Amino acid sequence: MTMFDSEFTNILWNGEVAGRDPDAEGDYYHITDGQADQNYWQEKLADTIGSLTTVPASEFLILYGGVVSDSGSGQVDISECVARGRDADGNRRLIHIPALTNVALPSGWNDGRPIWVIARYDFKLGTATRTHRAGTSYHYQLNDTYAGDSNGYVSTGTDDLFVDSDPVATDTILGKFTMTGTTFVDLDIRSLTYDQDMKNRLYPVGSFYVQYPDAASNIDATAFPVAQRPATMFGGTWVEQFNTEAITFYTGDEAGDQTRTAGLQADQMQIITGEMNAIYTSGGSVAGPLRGGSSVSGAFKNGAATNWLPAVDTGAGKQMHFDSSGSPNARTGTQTKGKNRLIKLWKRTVL
Amino acid sequence: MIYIALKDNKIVHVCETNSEQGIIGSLNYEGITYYDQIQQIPNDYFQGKVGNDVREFNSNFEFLPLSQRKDYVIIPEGMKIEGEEFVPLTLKEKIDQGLITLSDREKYDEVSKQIMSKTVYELAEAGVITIAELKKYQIDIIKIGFANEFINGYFYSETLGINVDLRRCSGKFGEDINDLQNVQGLIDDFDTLENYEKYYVGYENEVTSSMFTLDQLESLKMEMIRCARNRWVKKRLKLVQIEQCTIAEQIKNIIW
Repeated sequence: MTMFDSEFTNILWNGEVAGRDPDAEGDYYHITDGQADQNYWQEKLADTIGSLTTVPASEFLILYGGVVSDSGSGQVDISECVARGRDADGNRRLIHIPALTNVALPSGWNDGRPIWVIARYDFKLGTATRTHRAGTSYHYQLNDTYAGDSNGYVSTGTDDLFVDSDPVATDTILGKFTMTGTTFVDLDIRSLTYDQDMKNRLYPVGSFYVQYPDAASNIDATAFPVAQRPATMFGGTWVEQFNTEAITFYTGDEAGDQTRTAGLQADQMQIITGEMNAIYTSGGSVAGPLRGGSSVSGAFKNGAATNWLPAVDTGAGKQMHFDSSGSPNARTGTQTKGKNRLIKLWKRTVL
Repeated sequence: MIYIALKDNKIVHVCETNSEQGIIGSLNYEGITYYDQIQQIPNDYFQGKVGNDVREFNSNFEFLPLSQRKDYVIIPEGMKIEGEEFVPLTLKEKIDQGLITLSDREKYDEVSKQIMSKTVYELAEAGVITIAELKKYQIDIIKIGFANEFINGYFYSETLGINVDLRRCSGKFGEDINDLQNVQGLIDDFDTLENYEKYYVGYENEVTSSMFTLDQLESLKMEMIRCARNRWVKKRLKLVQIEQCTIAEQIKNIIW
């Protein structure tokens, strides 16, 4: 679609007609000139609104409202809306539809067929009249209206709100549903909304969103309710990231860190060293088996002094082991973690 | 709503979207082509993740009890399923599964259920240390035994009829607790000492002036000298024996 291509009456250009400034001075002003100017402004407004979106070339945009819902008895409600769309001739227009309630479907359409609700521009006669020079009274003003208004120039009634073939290429779609008897099923199809477009601009494909827990709970539905997921709040398709890895994020690595595999670095701990004398010595001579002494260092330390020194040829010695799970109040796992709460990290993959 | 993509019943993609087109777009975005099924999940709080098997879930797409899905579940490294929970593998199981590799100086001890260092004899038998290194170790053991006996050892004195110490050392604060010197001191001052000063403290019992004579002290002194000499001889013989050994088993049996 080409935007900003509508033409308007030449009341500005000069230099083509000698003695006339502008050139059109003295010319007749045609009724089609006025119609063209009206179209010019309508399309310019519609194109300007479109330019504010991420998809300026798309003719079909719901600025607000237009929600289609079941009103019972095989009828629907449509909330008030403004949309960017077309008129019956394919011209670009802004369309306003007032709130409509208990709208009946075209006869026989409650047979389960897919039904689209559209926003299409139309106009209708204004209320004021005056007498024409031909002697009859006529409405000299028009109002904007929509397909579905029984007083429209094209539209004959609410049946014109509905179509049963996909209007994706011709009209702004407010909703899609089936009505079987009085059973309404929303098929959840709409043209792009301005609200959604703003969210798409804020969170384009590839964006990340961090969902923090809504409550101190181990229950997923309580801590991370559906209502607070990005797919619910911003629309589109989102994929939870790294949810099997229990990880934190670092800005870079230091020399000596664990090597990364596919970007993931294994847990590691600060090097802790220590030393104990393997055999206790006295005066340079071997004097007994291991016991705390001056050569204990690092992560090991001496306990209370003792004179007990077992003979090497009697009794049975025991090895020394280190197991952190035996520490008082030890909390152990496969990796060392700080105190934390769960978060969910999401990535948008589709608008 | 949640959609999943499966390949051979394994979840390869999970996303939150409003249509099948959404997950297809997401699969394209992620470059995932290896899927054979797409499924909408009728559970907003589906806990399945990439790698889970779809057969781990009931009809409401909630996890089945662990015991019912043990054939499909991904068991975390170092864990096993016991009843309805993951529990750590035992040390033995970790070793058997290759999660822990023992060095040539370590062994798994079935009694203590711990990894222990091999004894020097086992190290020598396994060729980790040389026979020469084992001999040096065993010689140190003999020397330690010898030294320990000169600190804590005792023998039965035929002369006094009690156990007496074989001490040849100084105390913690440098005091003289060399028993041979003590006996020599008694002998040297025997004529000048008062009776109450004439006593000898054995290993467990004490004898006083009325219980021994100067000759008996001289005899005790000789017993102590001979006993010490015997220990020196014993030590020398064992060291010679060690040097003559050729296999670890022989060396191991030479103890103080």
